Amino acid sequence: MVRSDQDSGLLKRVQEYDPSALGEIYDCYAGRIYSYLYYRLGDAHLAEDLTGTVFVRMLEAIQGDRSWSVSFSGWLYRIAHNLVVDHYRRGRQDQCVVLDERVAAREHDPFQVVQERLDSERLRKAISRLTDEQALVVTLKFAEGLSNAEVAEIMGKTEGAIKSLQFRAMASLRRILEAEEQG
Amino acid sequence: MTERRPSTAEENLDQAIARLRHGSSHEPTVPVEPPTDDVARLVDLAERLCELAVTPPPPPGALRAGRERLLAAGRAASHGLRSRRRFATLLRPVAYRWVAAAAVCLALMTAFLASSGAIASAASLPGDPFYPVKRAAESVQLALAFAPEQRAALEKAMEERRLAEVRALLDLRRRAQASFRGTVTALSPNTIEIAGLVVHIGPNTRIEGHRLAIGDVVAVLARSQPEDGLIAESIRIIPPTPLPPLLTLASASAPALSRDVQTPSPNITESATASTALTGTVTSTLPASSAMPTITLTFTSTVAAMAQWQGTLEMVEGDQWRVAGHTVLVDATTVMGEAAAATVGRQVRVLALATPDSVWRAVSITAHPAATGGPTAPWAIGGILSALEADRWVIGGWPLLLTPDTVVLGEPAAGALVTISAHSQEDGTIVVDSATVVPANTAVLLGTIERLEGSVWLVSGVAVHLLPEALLLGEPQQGAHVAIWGEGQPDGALLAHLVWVQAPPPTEPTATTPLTATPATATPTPEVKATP
Repeated sequence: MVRSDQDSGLLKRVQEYDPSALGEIYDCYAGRIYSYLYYRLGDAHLAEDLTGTVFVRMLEAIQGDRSWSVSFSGWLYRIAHNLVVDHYRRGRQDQCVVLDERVAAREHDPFQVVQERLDSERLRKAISRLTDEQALVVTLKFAEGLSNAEVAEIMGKTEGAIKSLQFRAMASLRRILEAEEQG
Repeated sequence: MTERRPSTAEENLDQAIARLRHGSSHEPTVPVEPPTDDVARLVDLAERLCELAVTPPPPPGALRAGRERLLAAGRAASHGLRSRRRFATLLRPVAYRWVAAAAVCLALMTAFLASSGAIASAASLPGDPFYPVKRAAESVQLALAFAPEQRAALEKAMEERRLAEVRALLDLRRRAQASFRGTVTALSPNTIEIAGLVVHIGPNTRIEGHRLAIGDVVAVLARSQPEDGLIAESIRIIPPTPLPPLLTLASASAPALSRDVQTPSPNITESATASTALTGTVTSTLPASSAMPTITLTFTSTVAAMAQWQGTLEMVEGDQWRVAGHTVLVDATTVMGEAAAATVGRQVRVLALATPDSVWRAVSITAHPAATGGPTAPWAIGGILSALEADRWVIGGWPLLLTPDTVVLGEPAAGALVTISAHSQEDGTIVVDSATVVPANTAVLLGTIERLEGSVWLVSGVAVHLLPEALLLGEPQQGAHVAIWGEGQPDGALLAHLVWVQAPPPTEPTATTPLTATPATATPTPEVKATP
């Protein structure tokens, strides 16, 4: 297992349930996890709620002696990804279009705003149908704006592999969307 | 194993994505071949993905709840860890003694297990092996608390402990059955909230007692589920400490109480004064009912709704006045408060009744300096729901808007009596904040306020308990006449849902205010009638 010394020290403190270590981890990663979840779900309240759940799951995993093998942030993103998959699998997503206040407040044609939101929902659902790795690479590249090198570090792959994975993810996404449009 | 080099198409796409993310001015750092159609289509898709990346920052404090949740889970886990360690530490010397002297060890072991069990059980949660030990120890503690104050304090501490245990179970996402009690602070058709805990009511949940209401003290037996939270198996409503019997409510079938009665019954002669005083305004605005005072405030016959609101007097045209976007008829019977002259622009409070044909007549209009009007002006409306759709109800001819934030208690249906707290928007739209469906079997008490003590009133000898969601129209004060819609209790008390207060009769009748000119010669006999 590859862990940095700093992360190992943090893990040890978290295993002792040191509140300052828990707080440190949360403060460091909550914003990024929220951003990831919002990108995948498009619902601010749900993203807030699931952000908390990601960290509770992290604690449970550490309690059960299950933790990250490659990168801590990558591990958190995977927990978040699993929650998103669970969410879509259970069909709990709202049937109505959630209009973000900021989007709704824009001086846009309301019909256009709703249409844009519907397109976004379609895209989000299509991302949820990608493989775990494909969905992760798309989200990290587009939502987080990470470089290939950063994504490679999180996912434990080479930059070349990330470029290939990105291409396959985009191609799959296009096929899914086309199939939906035709079907 | 050698790494596979990305294909030209993969490189092309990656370069295009990099340009998209950094703006079109960024040229590819590595010369690449022109994109194929396939890649061009993927670049279009990448553009859409970039647009999707506009993530609004979380609202301030939004992520704080998650942080607290994590720390609470850490605390709960830390509790369990400490108790496991303590238990292990205590057990270790026992093993040595066992080796040293079996006989001594046996005795020690017995005492030891008892004490260590108690220590370990202190932090145990429902479902833990030591949890029954913890509860048994508490029972002993309670049995030994003889002083009432000591006992009460202990019971309170135990109630709080039960709630803390349930919170810990939820934080740890553990499955267990737990019991606790507390006051219902929020209510929806599928959930109740107790001390911040949301308890889901499922199809198999058993509810013992009267209809659940906010403020009820309940004992809950629930199961914690990692995915679904807390599911109630049973909810028992703990009745409040019985009140001394005051007056048994009259039978709901008393002939004088029927709304269809066309001639006054001799049974109501004694209470006629009170009723006349109470309904003076109504009887004068509805001439046909002057001889039948007891039916004038019965919903659906002559009154469809009642409301109180405040705002700017926007228009005065003959007998039509408009306040906060809503027009009322003003006549000689309308009580005009001090300085509530017909000055447009003045801030006023209106108390009005709607006839079944949706004509709103002002009962009183009073100057109300505190009234602000606008979006925050509070509205209190009680009446018969004449039509309802998902987000729109009609009461007294007024369309009322329901939003996702509207809290509705009970099952609304056309014809039901509902009480509503609302606010108005700039355009005059009334937005419902909360609505309560009044049970169909409520009684109506007509009487005089004899005593006001917070939410407990004495009205013509009847103890009236105002429910937390009770709607109050008018200014309650000692001596004022009231009509109260509520649920009769076996001890003679009334749980009030809707209260209509009429100003107390003046000492000097005046010709200009027929409402207050109605004499009230004696303390009226309370009168109770059934609603339709």
